[in-house]
Amino acid sequence: MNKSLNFQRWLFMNLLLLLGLGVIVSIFSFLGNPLVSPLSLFSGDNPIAGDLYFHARLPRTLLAVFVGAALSSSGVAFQSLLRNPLADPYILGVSGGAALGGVLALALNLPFSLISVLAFGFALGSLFLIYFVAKVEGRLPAHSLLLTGVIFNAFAFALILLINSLVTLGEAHQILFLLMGSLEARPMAEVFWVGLFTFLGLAILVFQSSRMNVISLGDETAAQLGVTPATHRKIIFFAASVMVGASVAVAGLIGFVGLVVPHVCRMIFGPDHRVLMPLSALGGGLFLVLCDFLARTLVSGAGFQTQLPIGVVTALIGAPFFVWLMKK
Amino acid sequence: MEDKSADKAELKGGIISLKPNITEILFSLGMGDRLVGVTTYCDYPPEAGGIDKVADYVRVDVEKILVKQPSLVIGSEENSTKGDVEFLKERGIDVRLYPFGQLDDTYRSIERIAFLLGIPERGQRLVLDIRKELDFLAGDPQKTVLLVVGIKPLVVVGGHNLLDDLLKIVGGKNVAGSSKLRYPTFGTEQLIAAQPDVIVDLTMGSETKGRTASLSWYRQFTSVPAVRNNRIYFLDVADFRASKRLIVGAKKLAEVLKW
Amino acid sequence: MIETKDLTYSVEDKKILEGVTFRMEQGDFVALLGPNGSGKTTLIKILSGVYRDYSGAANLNLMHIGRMRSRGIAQFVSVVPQEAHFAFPFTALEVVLMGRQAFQKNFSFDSAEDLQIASRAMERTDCRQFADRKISTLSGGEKQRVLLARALAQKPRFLLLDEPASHLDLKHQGDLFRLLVDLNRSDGIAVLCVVHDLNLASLYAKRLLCLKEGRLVLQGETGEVLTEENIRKVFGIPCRKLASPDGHSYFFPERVQ
Repeated sequence: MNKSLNFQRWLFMNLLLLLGLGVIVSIFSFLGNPLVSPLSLFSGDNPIAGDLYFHARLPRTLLAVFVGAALSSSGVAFQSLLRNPLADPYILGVSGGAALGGVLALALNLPFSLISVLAFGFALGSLFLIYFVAKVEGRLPAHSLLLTGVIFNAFAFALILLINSLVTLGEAHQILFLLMGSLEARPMAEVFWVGLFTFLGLAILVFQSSRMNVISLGDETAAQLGVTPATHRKIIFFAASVMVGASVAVAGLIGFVGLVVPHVCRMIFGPDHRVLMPLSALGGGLFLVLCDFLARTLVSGAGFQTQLPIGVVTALIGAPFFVWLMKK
Repeated sequence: MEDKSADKAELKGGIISLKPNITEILFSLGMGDRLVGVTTYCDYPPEAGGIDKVADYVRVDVEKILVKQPSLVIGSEENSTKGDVEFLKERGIDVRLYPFGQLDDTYRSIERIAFLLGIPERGQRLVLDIRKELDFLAGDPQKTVLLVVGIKPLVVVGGHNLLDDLLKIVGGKNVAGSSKLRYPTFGTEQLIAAQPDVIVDLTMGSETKGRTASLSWYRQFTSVPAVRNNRIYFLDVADFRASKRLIVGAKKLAEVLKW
Repeated sequence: MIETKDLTYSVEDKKILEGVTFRMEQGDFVALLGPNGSGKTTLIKILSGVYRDYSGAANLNLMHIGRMRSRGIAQFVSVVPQEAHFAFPFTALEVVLMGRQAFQKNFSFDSAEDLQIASRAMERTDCRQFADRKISTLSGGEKQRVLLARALAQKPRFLLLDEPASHLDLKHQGDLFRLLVDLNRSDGIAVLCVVHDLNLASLYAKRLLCLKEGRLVLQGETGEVLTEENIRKVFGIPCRKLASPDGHSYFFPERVQ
């Protein structure tokens, strides 16, 4: 009863974890195969190190931070909206829309750089479509949101399979790759955009986090406690969906992050969304940086010289971990 | 498997080819007129274009094949759908699959196909022709080369690969040649770390919708010798089909390395 | 003051409440009686601003409840629900502190005052000892006391309770009603409590409201309304009234023949 949450404590916890994340991100951006020494970056006599660091390592590590943060915090948001700790950021359909946009861009032979633009456009379009279908008398009830999301996703993936069956083998391979998710080789500009949307979305979600506590008790209780659920639910839905859309548009579908990280954070820090929201975001960034490190190093040795898809690594870690959690 | 395909096939009906290189081999063996079905990708020699299409790269239209009642269907071991093959076999159609993953496989498969068709000496002749042409191109492995088959993701030619074999012959060292995988997924960081002297892009810019986009993507990595010395080349992967055509590809590859 | 006039609420042509007119002053202690499905819970939800598409009038301090912001209502009216489902493992204290939401800004932390109010509320409902326990580990009765503490943390002028006694043992039932009487007397909180036990109503309530099939069939002083005849009319069962030496009346349903 004595350990109360105040702003100073909250800020301290967040800054501490942010600092930890910063340290780990900088360490892991140098680790890998080959190692990059921080000194060689500044000495200037090793152009390979600079190339490696600024064109390969840094963008993907930063992208891992942003995508991980976006997926985890939107996971927390959807879990409170749907009052279900097992809700996934991909469950409400926006991911399907983003994936469909990306696949369509591939099939239409649009240039490289337009793929994520179209994917994000589709994510926003599907966001509004889902919103208007799921809306009941101006409110967004959990059941209709869930139902609309699941149906929309199923529909989007049916269209993706339709497109997939009409394109060439090479394009089909690229579609598969897009769906599998990847943090590899994105231009810095795209990384920046994902970072911006993640930051804005997260700021909105953190701002909504104390209302999220009440909303997780159900709309009627929320109203009786003085919170108008309809307004807050819409804000939370839009903010979280935009984050998911941006991350899927650039990095594809990377599973388990939005499920495992919030779960672990809830076990460690408790369910209070004011704490859970920012710390899950930071934890998600951390988790994805570690997973990406494994993805790019695990089988990069001379015998294979290949990289694992990031979604494979998150699933290989996430799924057994979840089973262990449930059996514990 | 070995002994079964060593039998001679009954050749009353026609032949169906499930791969472009097989179509080309059959034409080289003088059996092109026996073909009654090919794939949508069979564009060489030009006569192949006029034959009915019964398959694309992965999908096989089993119904069309059944209607044609061929006496022989030939596919590759590397990418044929098992279910389709089983289905055709169960309906009494003679389906034979041959490996073309590496140069040696290709030679052996050509000979086996010729033997199967009752023209073994023509097969030996064709293999000899290819060997001779390749001998002319032999060079010392001096330059390191990265053979790119996909940009997004960056998929490259690894070891145990026909293209890797050809590269060795014409005098190049594949930077991904030690990979056990035939087509490993290279990270951007591996591309930079490998520092190849030459980059050969076999995607024809198909993924980036134009070579300019591909080029500008490669050109970010200014530390790579191939980028610095402007030694990024685009070749058509169709020229490396496991048939007589691989000579064309090998020649182009040798040309690129000569500079 | 809460008052309704011709309050009607329908769901798809079915009238849940019809023409309900009553008044509840500051300092009132009203028991709301009625068979299952008679509209008691609906009435509570209208008065607390959950259902807003009613017809007729429902006013809180002369303002239309349907047009008030939830925040404004919750600063005067608090509710102890019949059931509460918690999707996440909040502690009892965290649940009670949520009663302070109506007084907090959009993003804010609990002030020392909030904590003090929550702590005091938990003391009064005898649940401070499990402040740090997860709500999901509490028994039905313990949970009920936490929910009551949450309602008290709202510092309500009107306390609406939906069958608060249903999960409580006899001791805690007695404690609860003694607390309600105390809140009513010394804090001046008006209480509207749904009860099924006629004796609890008879012992503690000043006034009674009886709903049957959405209509208010009886209202008035407890002693006047609670008669054998009225109970038979509302609930459809014969009932005996016994006067005890301490001056209270007790009711016993008769054995069904």
